Amino acid sequence: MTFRHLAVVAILLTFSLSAGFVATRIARSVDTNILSLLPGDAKDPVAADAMQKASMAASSRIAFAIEGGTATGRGKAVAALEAALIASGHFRSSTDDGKGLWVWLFAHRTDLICADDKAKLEAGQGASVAQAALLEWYAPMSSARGAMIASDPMLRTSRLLSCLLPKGMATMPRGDARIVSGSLIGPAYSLDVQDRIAAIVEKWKQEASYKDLQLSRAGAVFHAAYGAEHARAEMSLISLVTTVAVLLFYWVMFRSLRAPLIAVGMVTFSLTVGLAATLLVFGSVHAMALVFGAALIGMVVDYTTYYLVTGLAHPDYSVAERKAQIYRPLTLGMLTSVAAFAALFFFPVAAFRQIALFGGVGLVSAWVSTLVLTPVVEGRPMRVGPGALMAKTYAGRFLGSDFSGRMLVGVLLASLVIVVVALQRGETLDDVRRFQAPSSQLVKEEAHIRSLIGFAPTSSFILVQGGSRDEATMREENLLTRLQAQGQGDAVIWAASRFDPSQTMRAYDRDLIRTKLIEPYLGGVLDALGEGRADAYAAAKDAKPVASPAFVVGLRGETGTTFWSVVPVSDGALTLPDVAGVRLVNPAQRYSALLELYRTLATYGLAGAVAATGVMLLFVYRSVASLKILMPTVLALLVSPALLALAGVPYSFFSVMGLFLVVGAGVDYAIFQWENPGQEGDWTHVGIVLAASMTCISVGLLGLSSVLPVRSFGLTVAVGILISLLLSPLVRVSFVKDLFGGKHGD
Amino acid sequence: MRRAGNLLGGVVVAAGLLPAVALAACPPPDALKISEFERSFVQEKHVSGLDKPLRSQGEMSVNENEIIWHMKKPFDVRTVMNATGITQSVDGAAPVPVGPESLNIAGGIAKSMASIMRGEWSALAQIFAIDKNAEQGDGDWAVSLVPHDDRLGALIGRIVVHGCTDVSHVDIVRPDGDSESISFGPVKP
Repeated sequence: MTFRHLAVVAILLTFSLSAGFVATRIARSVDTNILSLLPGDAKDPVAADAMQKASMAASSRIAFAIEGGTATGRGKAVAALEAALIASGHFRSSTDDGKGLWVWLFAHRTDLICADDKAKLEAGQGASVAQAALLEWYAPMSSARGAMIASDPMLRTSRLLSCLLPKGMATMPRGDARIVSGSLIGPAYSLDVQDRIAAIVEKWKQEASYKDLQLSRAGAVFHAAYGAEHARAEMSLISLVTTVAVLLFYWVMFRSLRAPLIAVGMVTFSLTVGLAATLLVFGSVHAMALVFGAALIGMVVDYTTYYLVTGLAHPDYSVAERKAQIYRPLTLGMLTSVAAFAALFFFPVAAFRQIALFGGVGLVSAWVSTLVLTPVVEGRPMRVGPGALMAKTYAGRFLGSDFSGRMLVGVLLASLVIVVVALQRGETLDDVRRFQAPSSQLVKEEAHIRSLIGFAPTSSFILVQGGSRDEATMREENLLTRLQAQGQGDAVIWAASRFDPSQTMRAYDRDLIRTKLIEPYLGGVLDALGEGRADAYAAAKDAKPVASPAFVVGLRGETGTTFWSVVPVSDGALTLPDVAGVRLVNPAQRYSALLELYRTLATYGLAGAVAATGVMLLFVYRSVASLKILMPTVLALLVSPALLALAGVPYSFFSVMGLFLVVGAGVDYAIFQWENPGQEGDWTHVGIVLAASMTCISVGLLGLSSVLPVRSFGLTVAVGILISLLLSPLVRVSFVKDLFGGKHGD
Repeated sequence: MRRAGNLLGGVVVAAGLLPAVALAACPPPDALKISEFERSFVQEKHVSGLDKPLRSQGEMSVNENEIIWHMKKPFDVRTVMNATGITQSVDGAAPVPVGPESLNIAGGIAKSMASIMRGEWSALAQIFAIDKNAEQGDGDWAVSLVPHDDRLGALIGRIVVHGCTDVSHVDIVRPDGDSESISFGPVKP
């Protein structure tokens, strides 16, 4: 068996293993979290972790409102929906959460206290607290129960439940609405979870007896599903259009079905290996990385194109001679492109790191399969099709033309004007809230549910840090006290320390409750009730440990040696008191600031990428003149974002990410032009045009995306590639020859 | 004999008609049209674990804007529920907002109680399954209310409203066996 045969077997084996791996993992490994498109804060890991945890906790909440029809019908519909959600294994009812909270409060009824009651006990007004409990026993339809006589005759548990829950939260909506609420077990941004919940809701809607009912939904899972649905549609559209374009272009170019089939085969191989590598390294793949994968079709097919075109140019050449024709430019082009993708790794954005690996591995796979597999499966060289002739005649004529020095000056002046006008009129965009327009229907339904339950979630929070859990908790308690003192206590929605205080606070409150309430007033309450145990609260000391309520766990975390807690607040512009280890975090502002910072850094990084490519060119060609290859790319880098800004596409961090690919992929055309000057390059131009067309079509289709990062990224790459192609003849410009000299100046 | 038979037949028929006549004396529960009233009440709460019921008494008054539950014995507590919230005044002191601060159950229950006293069965049907043919006695009607929501059902159980021209008393039976009985005096002029 020859090396060639071994290589072919290795490729096929790699493909089989990759395909098998992808098939078994992809269904449960797709991430749809928009936060994965935003930069992490490597300099502030505590804030980054806190934002992540706060987001995860908020995203797990889910609620439905069922209205209309008859009360009996609503009751049945609610029961059916809740049962189906619980049976899915992805849902925990808030009733269960409520039970868990009740168990926790009951276990801690002698060491937790409401703020108002605490103030009364400290002021020596324990009698009024005891009387309030007694009145509750006498109130009609109150929560007082016979079972509490023995263990909680002063109704401490129900009192804690009433004062510690957020104000304004309604547990019972208005009469003609029923609420099903709870939390998701499993990530809301997993396609698997989204599909299961969506299927349950859809099946529920199809039930004939619920036709007269209206269902409203609230929860990040529905927004994520909406985004994922768009991503799927975009991916399908891009794949379909690009595949059709590949089949059509290749058939027209080569007048053979073999060419498009080879191209599709190479694309399938490259994308499968790239996706498998991404799943292997990251464990998951973002939906937008998959959308990008669809766009990658147009990029990986380029290499096959260049090889097949050598058959048109030199039908009498052997395989080795044809490979030799393209080996250097193809390899250099691949290396510059992979380097460009690798640059995306330097930015802490999960989805872009996945794209970097996906694209990089995909391109290397395409390069390997083009040089090893394509010659094997090609058979005899392709024939010249009508499209190839047309491309050679028109596109080839343009790409083969020499730009005069005067034309170069014209191009430079025009570029300058475009850039200057764009700097004045264009805008930059770093505000994450403008990245994806949510479903208006979902927004409406969510607002309706909020009006029913009277509680609006918030994304702003106070981050409290400490060297130990107890220190962080004490700081949180200090913060709450100070906020209360300055009249901003109501802005605090939840606080873990209210349910699980510090050791010091717990000991103080326990003593306060014992000495100022239970010891002096329990006897009187029992006398008034005529029954009860004097040791009702003694048993609480020996109670078995109870698991913390899930939401308390969700408010706390640990990063390295730092313990922290999140205190959600309703006012994102709160004036914080001077408490050590405390700061206000507004995730939207923070992400926007990070995006601005990374946009600036990445823009500077582009200069570095161009310089690195220049060094690579110098290393390969050993000629200063080869730096002319960079000229079309540099102009594309300047002009494409400027043109897009003038067309209303703002310059963002994602535009810069796209420009990195323009550096890597756009330079390929100039390299081929450099390698094949004059008449020799006629057929090369056909390859360039075909390759650039495929890239522009596939990546340009990302411009249809509803997600701004994807749209911005795709349009930037497509326009940048197009400009790189159109300006690629600049490598032969006479003006440059005058400056640098060299054989390629003509 | 025939006369005796006719007489007996007449007695039997009359006897059969007696309940109907008695019932006819009570208008159906749907006929309750009272919107504003003031009535005395006596409440007894039977709580498992307590030998004696918790007995309280006072006055309930309802008008278009507010519901007042004024327990006078064994404590003087005046609870006022209106659109702005719930306040409580103990022993004639200034009213203060009361808890449950974050739960609207108390307000919901108070509204339900007012609706019960007004005979607003359609409104109550949004929250309760209503059976107007519940067990009757002494010619009065009885309406049973069971919450549609299981969680509310676990909290307040089943309510049975008894009355004739007005609601005379309300029984509340909880799933855990605790119960309440509230008897109302005549409507004050």
